[in-house]
Amino acid sequence: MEGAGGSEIILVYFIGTFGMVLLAGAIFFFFITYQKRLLKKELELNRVKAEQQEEILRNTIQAQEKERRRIARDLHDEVGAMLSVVKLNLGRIEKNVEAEKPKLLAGETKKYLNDTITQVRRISRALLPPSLEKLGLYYALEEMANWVNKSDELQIQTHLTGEQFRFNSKHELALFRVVQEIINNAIKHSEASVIQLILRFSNQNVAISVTDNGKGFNIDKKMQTGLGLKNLESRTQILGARFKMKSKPGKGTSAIIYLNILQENGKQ
Amino acid sequence: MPTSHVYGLVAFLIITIFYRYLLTGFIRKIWLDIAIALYTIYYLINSLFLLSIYTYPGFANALGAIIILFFIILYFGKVMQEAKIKNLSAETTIWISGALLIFYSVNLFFFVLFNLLLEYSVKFTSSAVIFRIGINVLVYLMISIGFLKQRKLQSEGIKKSL
Repeated sequence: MEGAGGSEIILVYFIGTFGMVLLAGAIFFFFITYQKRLLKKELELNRVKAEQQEEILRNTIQAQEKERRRIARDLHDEVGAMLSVVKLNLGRIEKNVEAEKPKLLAGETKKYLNDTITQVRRISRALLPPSLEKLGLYYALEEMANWVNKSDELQIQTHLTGEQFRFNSKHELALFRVVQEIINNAIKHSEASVIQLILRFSNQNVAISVTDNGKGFNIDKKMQTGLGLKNLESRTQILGARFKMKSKPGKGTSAIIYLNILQENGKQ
Repeated sequence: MPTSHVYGLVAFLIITIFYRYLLTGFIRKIWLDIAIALYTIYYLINSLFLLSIYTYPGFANALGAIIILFFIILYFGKVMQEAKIKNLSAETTIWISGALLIFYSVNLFFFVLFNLLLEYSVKFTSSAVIFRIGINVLVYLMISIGFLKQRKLQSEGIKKSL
């Protein structure tokens, strides 16, 4: 082979190899960059979706609370007031009537009326406990426990450690609802005889523990099928609180909610 | 030289069958099968009847390299379209494809020009072969990393299943 032809081959080899390396590098670079951009977009989309879902849930909760407040007020101010008037009139009838039979009937009706007034008051308080706004979370939960304890079906033992402090009323209400939901679930499904409710207030932190001695359940299975637990998680997430639930069949259930007030205020 | 004939075809078949599996659902398999079959027939005819078994099958290997590079690009296209892989550096097939992309890009002109280079200068060809060995080290290192990632993924999968 001639020298000039040989050097041309080497040149072709060098240029060709260099060109191919550049091309391969460009393809690989394009692939990596495009893929990263795609994933970034997907993450952004997921974030927007999650935010939208959170917004929808927040609006739903707000609407629910508004409606509960309205019903509670109507029950207390209108139905409750009317029932009190009816009770008063019935008392007057009972006093003034002389015949034995109507008197007995009036007495019996008054008894039913008293039960109805109590029930209306209970429903109204469950919808919006006045003590929550006036006295704070612990007293509202204690009041709820007292109402449940009246039924004698199970006992709710409440404990407070630390000194209760007040925080954002919307968040107090949200925490109250979460605990209320956990207790309702325990009453409905756990077959427990005792529920322990512990509230701890310390250094801008609120920790609530709800433990029952019921039959427990498989938490992984319930997370896949049930909406209740997911709702509790979503509610606490919106609140900026941490929520953890533990349960095993035959070993009861415990739930812990932890809220840092400073962090929660920072989020607002 | 006779071994290079066998090696070229076996390497091509292993790699293209691997990509045939990876490209499932992205492209109709019949096109891949046709490409693999046509190349195999050409390679066999070339090695058995056209080329001396003592001559390096440079053009045949270069053609094989182009087909493999095309398969790799198709695979990258599939990954981009599906966007299922969240972490590219943790994916075995990405490491292997990257390694093969480097190997066949660097060696394409080596395959084409090997016989001519050998004819021109043995010394230069030896230098080119040493450069090629260096690239091979990088390629096998990348493939090893890919397999290590796979082992890690599998052990994590076993832990999860336990």
